[in-house]
Amino acid sequence: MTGVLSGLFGSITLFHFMGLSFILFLIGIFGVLTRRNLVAVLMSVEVMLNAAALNFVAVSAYTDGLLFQGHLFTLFIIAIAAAEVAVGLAIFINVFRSRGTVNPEKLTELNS
Amino acid sequence: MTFSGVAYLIPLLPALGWLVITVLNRAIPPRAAAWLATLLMATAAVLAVGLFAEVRDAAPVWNSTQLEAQYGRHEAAAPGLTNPALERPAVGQFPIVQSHDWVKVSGQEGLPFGFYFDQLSAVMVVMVTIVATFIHLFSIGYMAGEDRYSTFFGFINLFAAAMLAMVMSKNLFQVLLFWEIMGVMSYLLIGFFYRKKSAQQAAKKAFLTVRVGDLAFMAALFWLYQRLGTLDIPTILAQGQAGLLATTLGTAATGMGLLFLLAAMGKSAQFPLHVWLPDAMEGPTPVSAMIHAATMVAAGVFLLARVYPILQAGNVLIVVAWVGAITALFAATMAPAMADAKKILAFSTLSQLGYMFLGLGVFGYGAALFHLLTHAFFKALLFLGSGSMIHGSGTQDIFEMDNLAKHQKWTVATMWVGALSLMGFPLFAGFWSKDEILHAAQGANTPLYVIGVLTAVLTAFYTTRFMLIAFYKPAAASPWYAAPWNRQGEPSLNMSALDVAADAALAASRGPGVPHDQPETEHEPRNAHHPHESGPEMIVALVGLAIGSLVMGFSGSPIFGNWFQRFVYAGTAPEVVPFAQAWSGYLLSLVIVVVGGGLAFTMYRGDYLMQRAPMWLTRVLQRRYYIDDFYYGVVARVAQSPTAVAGWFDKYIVDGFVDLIGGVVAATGELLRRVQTGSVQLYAWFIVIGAAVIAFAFSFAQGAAK
Repeated sequence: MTGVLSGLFGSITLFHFMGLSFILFLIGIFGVLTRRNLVAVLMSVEVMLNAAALNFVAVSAYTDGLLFQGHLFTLFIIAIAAAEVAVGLAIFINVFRSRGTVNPEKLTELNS
Repeated sequence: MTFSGVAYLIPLLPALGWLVITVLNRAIPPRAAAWLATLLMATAAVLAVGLFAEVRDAAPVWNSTQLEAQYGRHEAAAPGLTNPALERPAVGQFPIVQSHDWVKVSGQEGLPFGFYFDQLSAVMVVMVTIVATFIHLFSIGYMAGEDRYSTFFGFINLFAAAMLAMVMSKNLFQVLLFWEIMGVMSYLLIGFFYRKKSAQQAAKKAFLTVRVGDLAFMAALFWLYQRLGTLDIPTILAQGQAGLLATTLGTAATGMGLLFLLAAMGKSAQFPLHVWLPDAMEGPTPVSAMIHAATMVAAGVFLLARVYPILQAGNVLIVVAWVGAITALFAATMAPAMADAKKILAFSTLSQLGYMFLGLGVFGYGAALFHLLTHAFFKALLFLGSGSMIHGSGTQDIFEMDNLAKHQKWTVATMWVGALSLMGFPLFAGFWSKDEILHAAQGANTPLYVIGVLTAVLTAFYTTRFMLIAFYKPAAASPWYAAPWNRQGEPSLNMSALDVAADAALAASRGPGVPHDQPETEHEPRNAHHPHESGPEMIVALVGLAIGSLVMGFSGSPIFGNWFQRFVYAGTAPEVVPFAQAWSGYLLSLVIVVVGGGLAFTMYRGDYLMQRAPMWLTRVLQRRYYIDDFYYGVVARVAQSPTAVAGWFDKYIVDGFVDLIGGVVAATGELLRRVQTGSVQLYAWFIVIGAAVIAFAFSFAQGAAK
């Protein structure tokens, strides 16, 4: 078992984590650019943030060993993301109340 | 305290008056401003007299009998004259020179700036301050009730200051500086009634015409500096006295002399640059007295007197004489065809200035400056007197003036002094000075002498006509204004509208007997049918100048041993006419007055409205020999033709370039505007693409670095 695990671990490199993080990040971008609902856009942003967080943790674990600098950053990201979601959702609720929609394609009042 | 030590106050006081009046224009009552200006001018006059006395005491004194014996031998021919004829050498340091450095940059030579007092500047300073004081005094009454009353006094104050600073200058560059200030002030003063179209035109005309001369002046200065390395007047005069200029300047002296002559011709309104002076009568009458009789036009003569050694070295004097003679005769022929009192005097001024040039040109340096002095007094008197006439009668046309002698006792008395002086009646100022000039001409050149005598006859003629019609004849419809080519009330002779066809059409529509257009006079015809005498300030000024016109002439008369000519002279020694030669000239002067005046008297005693000269002649004279028309029709057009090209270039090339820049910016903006859709997700796309591009660029750059 340990051998399998160690074999697995042994084959999982930093590259794999980064690949996952990259895929997550692209999924997030895709969501941000294409969703027709601001809530979904916000969720996509969360995915992007998590991709970044994952990168931090992975790099931290593989490189600096016991300093946990990346872990520390990730904690910050989680906290800030939570605050961001709170503010963002509050804004969306107000936008929905005044405009009747949260479709970003319809919220183009800054159009020149 | 010496007067020469505080001489800087002479131009400074009136300049200060201008500053105070300009800054506090409305804060001080107009009357107070006027009196301030007048008192400052009077103070300057007192200082000037003191300065004059100092210069007189310091200047060398000549023995008149010895000089008379040498008469006719010009200093160039008889340089050995210097010592035996001297009664007393110059006292102390003479001429008095005060120099300062202006705009001095460390280690560099500054612009030299200073004062130079010799006999010429002393006489000029006294003449300008005294005449200007009387003109200021006269203006207090004359300008009463006019708009910008205070401003007027500020202007004439600064004008006098510029003239004074100019005659005191130690450096020719400094002369140019104040010369130009005078040009500006004359523009402002001629155009003082700026709401009148004709006044605007006249101001522009005066400025532009004089400008031709100014350009020549600058060219002459550049050239002189290039050859001599200095514009210092004492240095130049010293070189001239030592007879060095002819060798140091060589043939360039001729060119320079001609340029200086051209400069003086512009300022002193000599043919063919005379056209501005008659039109300049659009200014208020005191301005005419100030600028066009006593000071500004004298600047040209002054300049020639200053650079006299250069004129001598370049043999330009004969040209000066001919320019003067032609102007004198030419202007004197036009004066009898004028009906406007001020225009008659304007042409007379041109003519008298011509005399001064003639005098300078025939080695009559002292005579010319003597005439400058006396002319300043009697012509200022005549102008101010005509101002009083206009003030009292409400018209400028001598035919419309109604028996003014009955109503203006003081004016008529003082005007006769001026008129007799102008005619050269014995014992009056103009008699002595004009005679000196004729003497000098007689000795030098017979044709010039004949022209001078002819001019004198004409002068007596038109002056008598002027006095007779204006003062002793009842008012009548002026026969001149009705003439279709001479609607003087409109700016017909200014550069704006010289449309002969329109004139003819107007005359045809008017028909005979229809009242003509009244000319615009400076004063509303108050009491048009009840002419009245002018106020006390004006009378005092007239009387003061009349006394000057009587007294000044004696300074150069043989009664006082030709003191003036012994005091003011060119070169190494004066030129004094012995009485044995002078008496015939005096007799001739009397004959001239009798002939010219008698002719006018017999012609205008009876039917003074009758047309005697052939119509074509009157027409030509009133059109001023068509010279103004020539300038307008040919010179102005030619001068303006390049402006069409320049205008096209400006409109399509310069403006086109500017428009192109604006257009490019606007088009770019129009393109970029479309990016601003307001769609958040599109902006997100831009961010992503931008980030990708940057990332790609960085990695590419790193790859390239390796």
